[in-house]
Amino acid sequence: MTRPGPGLLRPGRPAGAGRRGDTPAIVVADLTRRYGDLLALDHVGFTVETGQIVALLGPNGAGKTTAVEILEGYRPRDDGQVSVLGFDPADGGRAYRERIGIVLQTAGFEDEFTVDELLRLQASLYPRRYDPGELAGLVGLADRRRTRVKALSGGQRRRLDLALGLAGRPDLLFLDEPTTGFDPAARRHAWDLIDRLREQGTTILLTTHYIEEAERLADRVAVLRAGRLVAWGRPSELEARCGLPTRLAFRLPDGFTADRLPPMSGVRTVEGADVVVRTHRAVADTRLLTDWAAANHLDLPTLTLTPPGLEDAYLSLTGEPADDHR
Amino acid sequence: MTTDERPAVAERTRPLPHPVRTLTVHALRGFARSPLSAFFTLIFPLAFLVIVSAIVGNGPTGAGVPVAQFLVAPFAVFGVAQATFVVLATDTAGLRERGVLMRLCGTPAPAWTVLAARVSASAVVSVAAVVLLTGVGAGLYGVEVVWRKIPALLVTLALGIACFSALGLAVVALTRTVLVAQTLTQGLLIPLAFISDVFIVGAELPVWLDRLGTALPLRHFAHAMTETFDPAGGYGFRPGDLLVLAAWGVLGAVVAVRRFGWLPRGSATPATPAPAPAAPASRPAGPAPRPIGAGRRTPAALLAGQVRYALISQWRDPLSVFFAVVFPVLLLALFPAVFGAAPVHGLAPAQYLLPGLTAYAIAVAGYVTLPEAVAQARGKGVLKRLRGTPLPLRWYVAGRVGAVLVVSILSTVLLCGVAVLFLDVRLDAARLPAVALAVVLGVACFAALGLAVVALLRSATSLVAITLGTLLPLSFVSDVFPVGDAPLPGWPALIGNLFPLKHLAALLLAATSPAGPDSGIAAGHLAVVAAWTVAALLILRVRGLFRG
Repeated sequence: MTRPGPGLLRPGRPAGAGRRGDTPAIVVADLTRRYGDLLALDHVGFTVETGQIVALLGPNGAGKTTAVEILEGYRPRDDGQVSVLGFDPADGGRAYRERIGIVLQTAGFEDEFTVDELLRLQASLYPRRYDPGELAGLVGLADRRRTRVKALSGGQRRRLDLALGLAGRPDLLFLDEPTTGFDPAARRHAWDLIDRLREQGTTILLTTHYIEEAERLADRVAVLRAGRLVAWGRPSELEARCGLPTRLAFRLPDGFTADRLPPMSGVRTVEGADVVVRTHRAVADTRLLTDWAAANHLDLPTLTLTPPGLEDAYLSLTGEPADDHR
Repeated sequence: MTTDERPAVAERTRPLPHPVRTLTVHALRGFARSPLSAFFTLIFPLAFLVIVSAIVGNGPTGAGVPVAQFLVAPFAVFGVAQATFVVLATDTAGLRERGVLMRLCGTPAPAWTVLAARVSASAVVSVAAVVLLTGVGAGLYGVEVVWRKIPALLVTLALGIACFSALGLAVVALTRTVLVAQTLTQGLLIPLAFISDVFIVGAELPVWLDRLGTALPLRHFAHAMTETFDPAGGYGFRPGDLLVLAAWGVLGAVVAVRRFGWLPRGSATPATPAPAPAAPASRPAGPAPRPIGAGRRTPAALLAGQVRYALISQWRDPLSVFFAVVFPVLLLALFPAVFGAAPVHGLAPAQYLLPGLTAYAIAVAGYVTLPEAVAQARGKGVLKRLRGTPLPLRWYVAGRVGAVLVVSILSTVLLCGVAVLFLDVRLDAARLPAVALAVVLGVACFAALGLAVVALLRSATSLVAITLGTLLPLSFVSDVFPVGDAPLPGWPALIGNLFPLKHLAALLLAATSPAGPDSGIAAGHLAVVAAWTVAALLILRVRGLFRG
């Protein structure tokens, strides 16, 4: 029987429309989870507003999947408060699951079924759902509907995974590494799809390894490191907050060596004629450099000024050394 | 790809059938696409019925009804137990291992509906098995449906399904992987069928085996079902047996409810703990490793490496070890206990059984285990990776066949050891070379046949159904599984004579029996086995092993 949940879901209501600014979709406070001696999550807390897309970043084993699986209701927590769409996932039950969609990182399929059969089955479990044909079209599997799962490529399987997570037209979608293994075109397509879900007001919590993905999609970014939330905010805030130097790069003209450059505050690295200055006083150092160049009648045709990106912020936050040769 | 700007969303609110129904239909569809399940639950019991009827004849019993009247129920019981115990446990454990249960758990379908659907699907298959066997029995052997006892039949069947489903799910709850669940259920059920009046009715068991059979539910299920097919008076209820079934069902249900887990249990969970966040893998600290080794390895070293690799992979597959090594020994120990000491074809039972079961062990290792391993390696891309290495593929095949030889020698030694030490079998040391010759030739023949099956079949899923599905029935007409002292009737005898299993058994009989020729070599049988080997090699030559 496909009863709607008690007072929480009215079939037919447009998902999320006009609900921006309502109570937050996800509220997590002091979330803690241990596996034996290992503290997988250590007093993690954050809030996701309805309609937001939030990316959970962090190295392998930082606790991303544990956090997401607790929110999905798969794992119990040891401590802390969690409220998702007003439910406690640990006992949200059917009414909760009717409103969420889950794309797991590692779930397999029953290989002997076709794409269409699996989509049909999955959709039939939700009171409010997509048409299987449209679902297949949404993820770009329209021409593979009659194909058995065992004949799909790795990327196509992942897209089927995505379609199964969307089958119930969720208010909140969990995406655990949604585009791992996609080719660039498929990734763009998945991003476009996520943008369209955003337009409908779907709240999305995604984990990813791709900084580019978080930068492109996320309204807020959470960075986990060894079970702790080490940063939370807009991507631009994170970049600013990390206090990383701006990168000033140029190529010395023939006949000039680095020791003739004016004294600048930043840290200078020279490789042949290529100079990189990492500075916290970008304006002052740029001015010193350009004044010097003008005084010597020089042009610096490759001069670039690069602000720290999310990737730098991420690497700094997670303690991974940044690559010097960008 | 999609240029349409409108969000492609459809609102669908038309009422749907209950998830149990949807999921049951889904599970049945999955069953229909899994040849091995269909084989064990439907074809295998049916083949049993046909073969045993053909062998024992279908004369009227003392009560004036055909023998088959008493064969339908035990074989149906086997099919039901396969569907509810083995197939249910294997499929459910498989779904858990692949994360399908986990995904279903994240949908609104309540968790109990997922399991209820699997059980209902098993129940449908069970009913199909009973109907199929009864129908064939009625059509071919004049089996009568005892209408007065139909209510008893339905109650008994329902209770049996519930009991064995609960036990099957309890096994899933107590195990971690599909492999262990499958091995445990199949490894319990088949030997149990021998001491539970399922495969052999009215055997004279030793006391401890008899007590074991009485304590476990299968015999009670068999007795209760047989009663419902007995045209004698009454309504066919056996309350004592039904009570035992119910008790085991409750026990299984309690274990299943308390210990069942939905998430994969294995290396995939939980998220592996992170090492201290330092030392990025992309920058090895030390100097680049220097290459080691000089020149190609010798063929002997390559072969030894491949044999070792094949053996490791076999030991880690407990089901194949069970069927190839443990099962024959179990039968050798069990059959004389079951059939008593009456001579078979003029020989002590163990003396007669030893060569047949040795042939069976060799056939399983070469014709069932080997092709399964090779087909799986082909399916998973292992062979593709190997082909990218300098190793010529013939060494891989040779390694696999070498492993079959090692396993076959091991089971032969084990069988002979048990026979000599515990069952008073005498072996003539002068004829041991003949035993060795028979084992080597048998391995060559069945390994070649197994590889030929791989060459002929595209998919790995139907493979075991075909190999076991031909080998097990063949064993009944090839002097491997004893079927009484009388000579076989026409067509079973013809089939037995045509295929190599009987001839390998005869070769081994000549080498082990006191009545055999002095050299221990039966030339005629040797020629037949050799001819099959050549035929299989020709198929391999023509088809190629690795196409597809």
